[in-house]
Amino acid sequence: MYVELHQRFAGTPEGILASDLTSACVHCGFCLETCPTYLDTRDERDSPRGRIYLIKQLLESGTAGATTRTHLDRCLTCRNCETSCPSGMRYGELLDIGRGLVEREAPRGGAARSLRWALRQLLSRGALLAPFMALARLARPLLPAALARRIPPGARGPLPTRAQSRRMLLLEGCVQRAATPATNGAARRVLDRLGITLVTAPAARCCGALDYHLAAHDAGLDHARRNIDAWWPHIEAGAEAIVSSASGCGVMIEDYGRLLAGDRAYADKARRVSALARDLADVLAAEDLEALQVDTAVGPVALHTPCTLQHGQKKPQLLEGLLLRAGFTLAPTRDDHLCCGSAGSYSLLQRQRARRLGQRKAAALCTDAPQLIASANIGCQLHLAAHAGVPVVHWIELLDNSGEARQPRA
Amino acid sequence: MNDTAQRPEPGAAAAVVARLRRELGAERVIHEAEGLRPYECDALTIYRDLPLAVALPRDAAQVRSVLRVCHELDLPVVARGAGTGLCAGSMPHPEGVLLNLAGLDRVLEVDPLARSARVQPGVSNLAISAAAAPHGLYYAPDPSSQVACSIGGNVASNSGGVHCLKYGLTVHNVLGVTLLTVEGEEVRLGGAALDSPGCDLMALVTGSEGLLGVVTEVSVRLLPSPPCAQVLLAGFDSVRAAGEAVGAIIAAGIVPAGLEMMDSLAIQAAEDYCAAGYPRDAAAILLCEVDGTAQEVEQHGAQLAALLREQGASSLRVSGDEQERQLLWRGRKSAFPAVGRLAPDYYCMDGTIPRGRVADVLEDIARLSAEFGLRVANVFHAGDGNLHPLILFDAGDPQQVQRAEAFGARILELSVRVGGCITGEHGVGVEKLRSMPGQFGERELRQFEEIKAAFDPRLNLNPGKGIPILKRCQEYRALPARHRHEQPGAAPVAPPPRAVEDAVAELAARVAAAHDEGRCLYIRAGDSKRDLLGRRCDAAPLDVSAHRGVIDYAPGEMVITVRAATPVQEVIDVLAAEGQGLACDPPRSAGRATIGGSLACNLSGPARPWSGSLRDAVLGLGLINGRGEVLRFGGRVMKNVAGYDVSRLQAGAMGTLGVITDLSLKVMPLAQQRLTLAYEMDAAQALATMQRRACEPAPLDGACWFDGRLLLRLSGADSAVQAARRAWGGEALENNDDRWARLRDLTLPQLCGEGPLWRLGVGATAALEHAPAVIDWGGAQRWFPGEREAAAMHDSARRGGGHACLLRGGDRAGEVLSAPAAGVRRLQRALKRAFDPRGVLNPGRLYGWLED
Repeated sequence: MYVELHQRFAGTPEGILASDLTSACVHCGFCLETCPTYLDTRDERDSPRGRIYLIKQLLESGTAGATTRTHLDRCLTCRNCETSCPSGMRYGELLDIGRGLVEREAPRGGAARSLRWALRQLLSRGALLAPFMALARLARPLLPAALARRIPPGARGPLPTRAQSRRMLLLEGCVQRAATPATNGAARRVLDRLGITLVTAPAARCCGALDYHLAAHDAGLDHARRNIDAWWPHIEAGAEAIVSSASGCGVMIEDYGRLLAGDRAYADKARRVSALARDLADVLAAEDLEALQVDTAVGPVALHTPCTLQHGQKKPQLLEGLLLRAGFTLAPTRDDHLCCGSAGSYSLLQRQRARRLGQRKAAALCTDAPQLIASANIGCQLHLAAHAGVPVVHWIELLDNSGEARQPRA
Repeated sequence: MNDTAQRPEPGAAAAVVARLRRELGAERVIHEAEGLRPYECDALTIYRDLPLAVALPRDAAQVRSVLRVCHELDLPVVARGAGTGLCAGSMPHPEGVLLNLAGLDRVLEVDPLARSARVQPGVSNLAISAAAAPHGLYYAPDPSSQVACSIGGNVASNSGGVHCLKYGLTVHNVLGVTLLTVEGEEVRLGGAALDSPGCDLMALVTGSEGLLGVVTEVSVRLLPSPPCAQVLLAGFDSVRAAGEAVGAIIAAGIVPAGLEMMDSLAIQAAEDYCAAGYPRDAAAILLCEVDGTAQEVEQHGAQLAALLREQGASSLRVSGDEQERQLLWRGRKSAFPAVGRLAPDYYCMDGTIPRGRVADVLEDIARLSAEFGLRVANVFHAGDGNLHPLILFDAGDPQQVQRAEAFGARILELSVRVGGCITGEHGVGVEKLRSMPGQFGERELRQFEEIKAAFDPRLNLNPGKGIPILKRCQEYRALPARHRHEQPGAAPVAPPPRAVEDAVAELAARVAAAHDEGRCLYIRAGDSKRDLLGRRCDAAPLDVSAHRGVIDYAPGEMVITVRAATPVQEVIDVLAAEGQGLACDPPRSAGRATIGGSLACNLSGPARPWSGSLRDAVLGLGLINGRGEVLRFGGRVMKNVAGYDVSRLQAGAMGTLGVITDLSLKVMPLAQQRLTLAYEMDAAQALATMQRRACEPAPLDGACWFDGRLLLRLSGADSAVQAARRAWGGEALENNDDRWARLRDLTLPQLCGEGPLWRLGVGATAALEHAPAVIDWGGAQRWFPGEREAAAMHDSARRGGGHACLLRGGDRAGEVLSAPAAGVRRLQRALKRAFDPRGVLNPGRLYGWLED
């Protein structure tokens, strides 16, 4: 589709990029049925094609109102539409630009702005979140089962102490560090058994995705720069990869190179960092799993491949292949391509919608009575736990022989 | 193209918005420009306009409310499904409401035994097959946009797809629709039973582009999923070689499940998207699918592979597993949008041509491409002769847009010139309105207008689309500027030569004289049905029996054109000499039954549920309407959705809408092997067995019961017939057994004679009532000889979801067919007036009330 750029955007880099991105869309509608929000409302404006059109309108008219903002807000950024798009539309990129423009053109009221600000501060700072989680865990035995299920356990098992010859950097994450410390603990132990030490750079924090997708682009990029600075000495010292056990963070780090391409001070480093970014599953896939001697007798596992892994990192089969190779029995599931509704801060900002999608996803995962659900992203894991009747774990816990993860929790 | 100058008064918008909000809730009505914009176009984005409002109903009751509000306020209504159409058929009207049916998205019922599904119009094509899959069934038509396009839209445009060569178009696979008229009145057409009495309104509505009503529910036929399917991918060094291979395949008597062609540009684009493994160095590829039992696939696959090599294929690959097969199709089905990678915009054409002209036409298109300076990617339903040249351009350059449109018009002109039509499956919409006079003359266009007025006298349903309204030329002027500019080469081309034979002219003159003088006529050819089916008609006979003989028969095209009074037997003999036949197998009536009469009476043999009827086979016909005007509809190509389907409308009309003069029929290769299996059992057991067998993927094409015996007929590839025989057991009957023929011709002892004979058409799974003497059509047709109480027969038929007909005997001055509901009656009457305003033709033959 051709975009006749409004003069306000005519010479601007984001205007030109947005118009180039939009021109890849041919308005065929092949994306419609893969969009969770369109399936929910059946309103064109809640579809990828409709949102592209709203952004096109913004680019051509130079203005936008609450309608455009509302429908862009409703997007999960699951990028399922990119997978189904034959003409190669880079929807996620366009949406980020569109959200940034809308934030300027159709500013929110004070209350909504404050809420978003507070959410970004709270979630992207694990340190702020950690006390809440600790408190919740203490109270867990006193809570009703439905609520207790939503509170993941704390860290388990000893962390490896030896230094292996192979080293990789681990992104500890923000929410994950506080909410599911068990995940990275398991990752450290499993990789240790494979001869890899996961090191962390204490100064590295949130990957920046939370801010960036909430249209706080500058704040998001600041996170990126800070992480790059924190990792750089380790990279120079020979760290093989930057590993993320949350696919949502991984896809963001993969994007650093593109996002900072215009920043002369960081462009080269960001490119290097992106090239080193690996999902934990990617790392495991290249190793000899025999060495782990995994106990796979946990019953059928319903695998949830997060959107950030299948549509963002474009690795839809990676996890499935890995778990099958490790010897697990996977339970049949439906609608694997559809988002669970977690989508970063989405489950907090669009609660009703997120709940509907969560219920739908949980049902699709539990079609064949699995023993547990394994996911690869912290947000999805917590969100699904609220809607599924079976435990939801990070898949790495299945490979960790400390074994607790396999005991279905009440 | 947003012609804001003609936007109506703000007051009108406010009034309709307020009313709609009351009906649907504020959330489900869009009226401010910012929110309307995403609805301004479908998948053909060069035509755009903003509606007054968009209504987003979630159920049929809300759809009805929207229609009623618009009817009261006299506002245009444009229905829209998923907005994947390629002819601007759902472009909004600036003074009207856009009725978005996407919210009616539920699969209401899947009935595995009846092999049918009931769905709302917003359900996507693929979702129907997904819902049917657990039962081993699927919905056959598969337009390339099936991942998103809605079944309502499929009905509106009579969509085809890559498998319609073997399995037919939407019109062949829809059993019934619930239609809301422009006034909001609910009308049910078709249903569980096949072949509703009276003219075929359902066929008329299918492909009518939302101009006649709004569909709120669709019942579709499901087929058993073939146990095995395989795609052959053949590369060719030239487009001509690939085109000729297509001709060779059809001529060899093979009907592949799908036969598709793509040229080099399309291959590159599809490969860039999904790396299907198409040979990038080929000038063209053919994708050829065979399906059926494993033995059948192996047999036909080997035959095709040999043929493709013989035709000079430079590479040949056969899909190994289901995943590979799906991937090979994915490249083809994504080809349109994938060419979006080659240029910012594409303009997709949809002409259908005789298959034999494929290579010539593609070379002409290449020449035009050079002339207009625009690249073309060709994607093509080769088996059907349905071309999809994709003209690549950049909408940012107004010059290019103009050139693309002019180029497109030239391609359509070319399609008509070689004997084809302007649209095979995408529809006319706004886009091809200007090309309609190239395919139809003024008289046909006027007849279309009158059909439209019969349903929608104030022209409020999807105005400005589908058919040009001659008497309202201001509508042309009202079209947005984009459609108005002069298109070089788009001037109406001369209609195809219409050799109106003297005999036709003479018949027309007689009808015209009767019209002028207020006389009535009874159309008569073989006179085999005078006392059958319809009521007695005592008008003076119009003898058409001399109008017989084959006009044209091209076995390689699988099309025969014959004069209407040609005996069915004669047609079958001509075809048999070339190894082909009529799939529908109508009764012969001792050689007296004519092909025209059989279509008018919609008579079919025992193969009806599997191989279709004459209505399904008809591609086009010549017709003299009640004014004595000689008209021509449809064509001689496999697919044609330009204008209303007047050809199929004639099925069941019993000559009340016109005198059929000639017709073109799709023919099929004769089955290799035929076998009947017999089983001793009572009617109830037989009915249950028929239903069970019909759900299995076997080449079943007949299932009847009489004389305490169930007969199952298998027709198809030798291997498949033998496989079913082994699996099903039973006593195999000699092939010269005449039971099927006697059933078809009503010469079985139970059915012949002079006494009354009732025929009930019901759902195949309807409960047994009143002890039928004969059950046919896998349970969907049941025969009751002897005196019966009429009310009991009609009630029983209604309970079975169908209709009754006093086929013979009894009181033939009274009604002999089940009375349709009031809404259908009103439409039938209005259509009668549209074709035959003075009631000249076959008065009283169909119903006593038709001419009221």
